[in-house]
Amino acid sequence: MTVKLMLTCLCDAFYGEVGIATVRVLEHAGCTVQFPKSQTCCGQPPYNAGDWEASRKVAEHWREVFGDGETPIVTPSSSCAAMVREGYALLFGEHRNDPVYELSEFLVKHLGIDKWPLARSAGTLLQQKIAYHRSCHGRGIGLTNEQEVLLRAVPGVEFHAIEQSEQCCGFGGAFCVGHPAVSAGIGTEKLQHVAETGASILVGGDMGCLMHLRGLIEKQRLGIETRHFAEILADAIPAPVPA
Amino acid sequence: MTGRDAILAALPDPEGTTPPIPFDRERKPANDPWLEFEEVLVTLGGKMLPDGALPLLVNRPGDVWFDDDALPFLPEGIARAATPWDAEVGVCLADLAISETGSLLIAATSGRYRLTSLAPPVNVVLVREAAIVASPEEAFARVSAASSVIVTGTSRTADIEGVLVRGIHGPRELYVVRVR
Amino acid sequence: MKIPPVEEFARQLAPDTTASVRKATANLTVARTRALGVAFEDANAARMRAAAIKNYVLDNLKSLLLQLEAACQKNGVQVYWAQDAEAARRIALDICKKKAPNGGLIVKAKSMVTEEIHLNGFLEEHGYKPVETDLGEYIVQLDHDTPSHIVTPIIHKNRLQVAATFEKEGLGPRTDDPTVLAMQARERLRSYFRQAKIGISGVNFAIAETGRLVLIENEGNSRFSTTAPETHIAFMGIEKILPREADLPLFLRLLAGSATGQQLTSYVHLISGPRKEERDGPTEVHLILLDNGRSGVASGKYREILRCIRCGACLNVCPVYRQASGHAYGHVYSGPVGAVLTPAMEGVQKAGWMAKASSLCGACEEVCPVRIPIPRMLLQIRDEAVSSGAIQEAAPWGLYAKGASHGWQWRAGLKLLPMASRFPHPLKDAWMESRALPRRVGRDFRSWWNDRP
Repeated sequence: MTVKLMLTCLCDAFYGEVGIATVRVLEHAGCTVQFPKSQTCCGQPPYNAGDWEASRKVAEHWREVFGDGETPIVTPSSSCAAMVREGYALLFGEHRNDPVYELSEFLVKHLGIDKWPLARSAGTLLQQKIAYHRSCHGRGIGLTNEQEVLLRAVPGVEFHAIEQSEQCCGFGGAFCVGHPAVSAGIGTEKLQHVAETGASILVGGDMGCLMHLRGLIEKQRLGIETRHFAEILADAIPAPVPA
Repeated sequence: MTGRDAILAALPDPEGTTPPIPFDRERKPANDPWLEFEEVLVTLGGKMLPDGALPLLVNRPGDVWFDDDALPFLPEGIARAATPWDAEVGVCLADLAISETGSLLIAATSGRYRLTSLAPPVNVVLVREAAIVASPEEAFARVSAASSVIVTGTSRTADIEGVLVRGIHGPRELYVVRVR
Repeated sequence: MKIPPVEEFARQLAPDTTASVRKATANLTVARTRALGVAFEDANAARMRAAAIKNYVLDNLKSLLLQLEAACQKNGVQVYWAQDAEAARRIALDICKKKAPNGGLIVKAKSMVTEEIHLNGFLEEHGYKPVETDLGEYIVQLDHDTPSHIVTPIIHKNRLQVAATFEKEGLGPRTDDPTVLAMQARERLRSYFRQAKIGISGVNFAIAETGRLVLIENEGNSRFSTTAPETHIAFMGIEKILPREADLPLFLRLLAGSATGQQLTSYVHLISGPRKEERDGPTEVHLILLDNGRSGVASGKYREILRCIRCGACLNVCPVYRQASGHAYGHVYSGPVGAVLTPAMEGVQKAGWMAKASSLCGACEEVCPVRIPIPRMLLQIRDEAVSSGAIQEAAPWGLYAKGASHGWQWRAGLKLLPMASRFPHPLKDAWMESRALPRRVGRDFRSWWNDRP
């Protein structure tokens, strides 16, 4: 199956490894990945801030880049997927049903994958204890436990749910700089719950959350690593057998 | 223009839709509704007592207030307190018990006092053996047109630090006695 | 850059208060989930039905209000219509003057709508002594404070603060036992219930079909306030209607479960008017229907907020509320519901800023018993507020949009990003106050993609 990668602005700017992992995961799942190079951002930052005029401009560009309406578009962010699927309807006053999927949603719901990796590796397993943060914008696209199912399937992963998992990390786009103390307070509480699990890796599915949490972790010198779930999945893909 | 006219004029015109049907909740009736009632009541700070306990409960001369229709179930010659405010014990007859929620439906019908089940710190509620329904939904199908109260456990508050305190303004003790 | 009110308030909040609010809200959130799980096989279906019934009410508000008015009058309840807060206060004062011309004690049951119209201060100016009789509201009143939560008004206080107030007011010796504190309040308030000639309450639901006013509570103060005095004055927002009594079980369960994690509250009070064949109860019942901006909301794009049944579940689950507390919002209705209801009722110009105090996480909609799309409306309010100039955006979104509308400009911008981090900007300072700046981690995606064989 051919899919288009919607990289997201954050992965474009800072977190290229997440984009690379997403491509590797999709290819391991049997997909041919295309990358439309003129892509930019989905327009969510100004949309959330209330500047819909600015957001519409960006969204129109998105539609030019991605909008054939047929090839599935996969993105490693529930937030960006929700923006296109739900946000654009408000922004433009009409529902268009762009075939945009968040990565885990695409793997689990559309490809029917419930184990990972799809071929067993003969090598040694990486033992890792991870705490998982469920990003809020999964709510906007009806995600339930897709990311959890995949992470739990990875050999060597010791999965820890965190307390009050329904709680936000405090990022919220422009909110995190508009209300920095409130945002940091929410994030710090979240990190306390992460620390309670004893895990040294915090895994999430949205780089917005992870960028904010990583900023807090570094400032507070908590020694917790942050990773996107696509990176955990990509690490578990067996190396190709040398010819 | 009066306030009434102004408010009505500002409201959208009725669209002539029909209301969605009331929510119907499927629930298997308990095998023994009184047993279920008792189990739930205990979790709400109430207690069921055998009717033999009634004379003991009201053995406090001058401290008992009761409604007229509860009198036939009380020991002969019992004296009524001056007012419900002065009584330690209030005895009333409930119209229905609700087994699922451990609730009591008490209507302010002829001759009853609303304060009987409210002002005295100890409330004794008499319920006829047959007057029990499975759920609030069933109770509402049979509710009286008179002002009524559905009592579910003792009076309580958790306003201070979320700590549950039983008995604040309403009764702190609630006893239910099945009568014939 | 101006600091928004919620942020400013949160910054000066005592750690004690944050701890109280966090603990209580987390407990209430757990209790809610458990209670609704017990009450309904499919809680989501129940909430959808409740939403549909409330939508019906909003569609047919005019005819339902007329039906309610007629049914109430038939029950012997006197009905009044108040367009705004001032009219509602005047109507209440006129009734009070007739019943108690020389002023005096008024017992009040907990009611958000009377908070909304600032009734107490007004009655005090006119020689009356309204006393809040819900334990939490009583404490708020003694402290000259305001409720910080629509269901648990003193969620921001701890027992020691309450004990100090009670000691000062002569209610009893200082104690750290909540039961003893409750008993101290009980003694004082009981004498008030017995003396007062007038009782004031809100209404949780009013049944159009039968004219029955439904009040729910746990303490019994609401029953006392509407039973002991000769006159009962009830206030209700015009949206509080339910069509039929058969709708009540659903709403009673949803409200009790969502608000306090109960199946039913201790008391559900069904008021069918003044005393009839019973021997006590008020001889007069007055119902004041309050608009105060609601009719406008009912026909606008924020109409779904009028489905709200004031359970407070969205406050309890809201990360911003938990961090900042209800007082941070500076209005009677706080948290997610307040951030929509207030601008909807009072205008985006005045209160649109409230919608910015949200991370848009969506937890509010997820727990709402009537499925109000709060996040969607927060976004719409932001749009309205920014495009009308009611709030100024600090970020240069126009510039961003320009750069993000062309692939080549975007790619050029990305190259400049590392340099941009050297320039000062207030938003950068806000980020860096508690966070390290984000930096490129590992390989760049586009280079990797271009270099692929």
